Amino acid sequence: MTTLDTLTEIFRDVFDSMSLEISADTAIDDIEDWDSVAQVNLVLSIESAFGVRFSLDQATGTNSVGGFIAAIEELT
Amino acid sequence: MNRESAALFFDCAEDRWHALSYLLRKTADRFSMEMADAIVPEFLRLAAEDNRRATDILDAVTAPLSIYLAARLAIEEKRLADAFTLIENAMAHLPRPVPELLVRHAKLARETGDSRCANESLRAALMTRPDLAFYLRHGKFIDKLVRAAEGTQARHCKIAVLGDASLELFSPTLRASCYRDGIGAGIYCSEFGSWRQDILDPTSALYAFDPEFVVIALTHNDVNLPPEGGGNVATQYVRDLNELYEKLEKNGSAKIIQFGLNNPPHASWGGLEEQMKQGRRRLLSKINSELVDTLPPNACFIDSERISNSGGPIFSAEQWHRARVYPAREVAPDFADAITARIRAALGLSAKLLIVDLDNTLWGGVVGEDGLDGIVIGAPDPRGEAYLELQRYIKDLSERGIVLAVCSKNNEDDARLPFQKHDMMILREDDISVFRADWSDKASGITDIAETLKLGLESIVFLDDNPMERDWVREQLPEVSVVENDGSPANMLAALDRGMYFENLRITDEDRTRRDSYMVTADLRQATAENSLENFLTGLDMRCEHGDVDDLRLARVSQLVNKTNQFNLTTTRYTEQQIAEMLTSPGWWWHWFKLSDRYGDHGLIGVISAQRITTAWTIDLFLMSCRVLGREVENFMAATLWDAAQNAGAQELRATYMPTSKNTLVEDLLPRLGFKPHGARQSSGAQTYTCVLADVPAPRHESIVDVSVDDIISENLDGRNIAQSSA
Repeated sequence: MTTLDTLTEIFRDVFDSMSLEISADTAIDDIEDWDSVAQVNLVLSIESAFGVRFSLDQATGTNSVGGFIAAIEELT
Repeated sequence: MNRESAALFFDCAEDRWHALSYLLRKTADRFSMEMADAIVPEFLRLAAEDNRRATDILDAVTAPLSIYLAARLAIEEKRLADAFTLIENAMAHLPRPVPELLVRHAKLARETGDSRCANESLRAALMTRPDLAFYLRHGKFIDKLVRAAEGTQARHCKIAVLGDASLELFSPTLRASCYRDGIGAGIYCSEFGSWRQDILDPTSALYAFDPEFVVIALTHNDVNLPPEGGGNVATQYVRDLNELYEKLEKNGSAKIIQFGLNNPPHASWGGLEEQMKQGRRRLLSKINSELVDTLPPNACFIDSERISNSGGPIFSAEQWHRARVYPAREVAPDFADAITARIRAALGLSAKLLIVDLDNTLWGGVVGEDGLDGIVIGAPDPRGEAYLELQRYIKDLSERGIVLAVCSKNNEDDARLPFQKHDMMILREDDISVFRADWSDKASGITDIAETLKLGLESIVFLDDNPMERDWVREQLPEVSVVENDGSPANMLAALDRGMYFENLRITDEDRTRRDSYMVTADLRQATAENSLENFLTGLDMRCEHGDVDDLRLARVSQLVNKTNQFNLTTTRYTEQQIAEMLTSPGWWWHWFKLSDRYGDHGLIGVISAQRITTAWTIDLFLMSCRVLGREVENFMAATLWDAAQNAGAQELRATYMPTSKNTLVEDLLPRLGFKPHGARQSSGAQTYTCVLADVPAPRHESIVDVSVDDIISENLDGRNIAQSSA
């Protein structure tokens, strides 16, 4: 699934971890540094990489990888 | 090609391997980060299926994209040291620095423990002035590296950032901007909503922090004017700020950097807000201008709206509502840079000297080739107007005390001519403190200029349209600020302005007359940095195609023959018709040369013609485009001549140098190639030379690869040369 591949790249950059592995189940509680600043960085990086624009609800309310995948698919 | 279209492309291909190979071959001459990242997932998938096959496909195409994919594969396979080398290799093949590659390089360097390299690459990435997306994506890495580097920075400084927004979100960007400029920044932000208390209370954490700079960034929300009638509120607001300035002065010693209030994003009273005496917009302008007038002596003012020019509106209602974010994230890097520029100015670190190239930098064209009439400056040519605007900007810089120097590869007389005689030029000889025009390399030139003016390399900004010169200077003189640009005059001006290299906090009479005290004439010297030059040339990845002149090349060859003035041994001119006739004769050898390197394809750049007279060949034309000077291309050309002559059974070469006012450059070409003078110098200055082929080896040209190895030059019975090649 290429969306997960691209998200893995983004997560690795945003959390600065070359070996981070994520799956559709990975959520905010699973990554220690996933705070509100990371949330903003994730949202803006994902928007930029996929060429999409999240709604305010999606931006603040998407707290899992699966959630991002669903939102991306909805918008593309 | 983006991610989506890449996926579609591979999906619709019957054979994904073929699709990959096709894509690599078709895009070999260009590179885009977006396309590269789009292909990576598909490539890694194929590599997982058959690693050997995937790497074979990469090896078949030498291009930045294939090297980058190899690097990504290496990262996937945890071969980080390999990935590091491959990324470096990929970057070496690209004409301009790519921030995404540089930051990847930095991350790999960090993994392998090379923190010096990690910092260099990160700084180089930041110097390309990347956009917000870059800072967000790599923010964590940047912040880690920046904090780790704090101890090793040349300068440190403590900055308090105060205002009504959530400025702690902005501070990493400011820290990164300072780091890029060699300053380790400690940053203090007030607790939410309490910045005024911080200033008023002498025992506050702000004063305990003891900042050297206090940045005050306020939004229109802080004064909260009604659409009309807020005159008293506005006046009181300014008075309150003045009081805060007084407190800051009394309780500490910081320099204040005050940002002007932004324009509100909406105007419920429309145009009335700027027309009416107490209209909101009008009052906000008044507040800003009164702040400027009432600043304490140690303070400076920055117009927030000017930041908007670069990246977009400085205030975003959406971001403000989300988390009181200001400045808008899109312009956060520019906002940070504006602060850093003022800090550099206050610390005496602003640049003092601008060194400029001439051809295709201050004017369009090459003065040594095109002559005074041929160069493009001024109306009515739009490009000419753009060069003029750049000259105007540079002239303005000199008027406030920035020293100007020229570093150009040219005959000095040619180079000075436009300054002396062209009526459109804005810059004149008097504006230039050191005028350096010779054939030496630019790093030597810049170093000499710096020595002459007794200025440090770190105070120099270098502007040149040629990416090769920029890379050379960056490599040789890392302290010099090299303005990255795309070669167009409008972009050069924008990049020069955007860099904010020369910010001053005030102007003195001494500034205005500085250039007069720096008037010096340059002397001509040759560069001797042989070793590093060799390495650099090899890194250029030069490939030379060549062949006998045929119908296909005739027009371009004829153009070069008639246009080239400087690197031209005899300056003999022939019409296209005359050349075509010579080609039908067995007594003539005409050969063309074409050069590509990692900056691109320079097209046809050299011609040699020679007459075959029994066992001796006499060179009639030996000319080369000045675009490819200083790279040993003439050696390659000569070596080709050597081969052809020897293969044809010739034992001797003859040539005559015919001097003109423009070709002093090739005065010593023949001796350099191994020729000896033959007979006396004539009254015209012409000198004949000979060279016995058995005694003199072909000239060396280690950095240039011959890509016409498949050429078969054969003569058919009626004496015409036929070159069978892929060209």
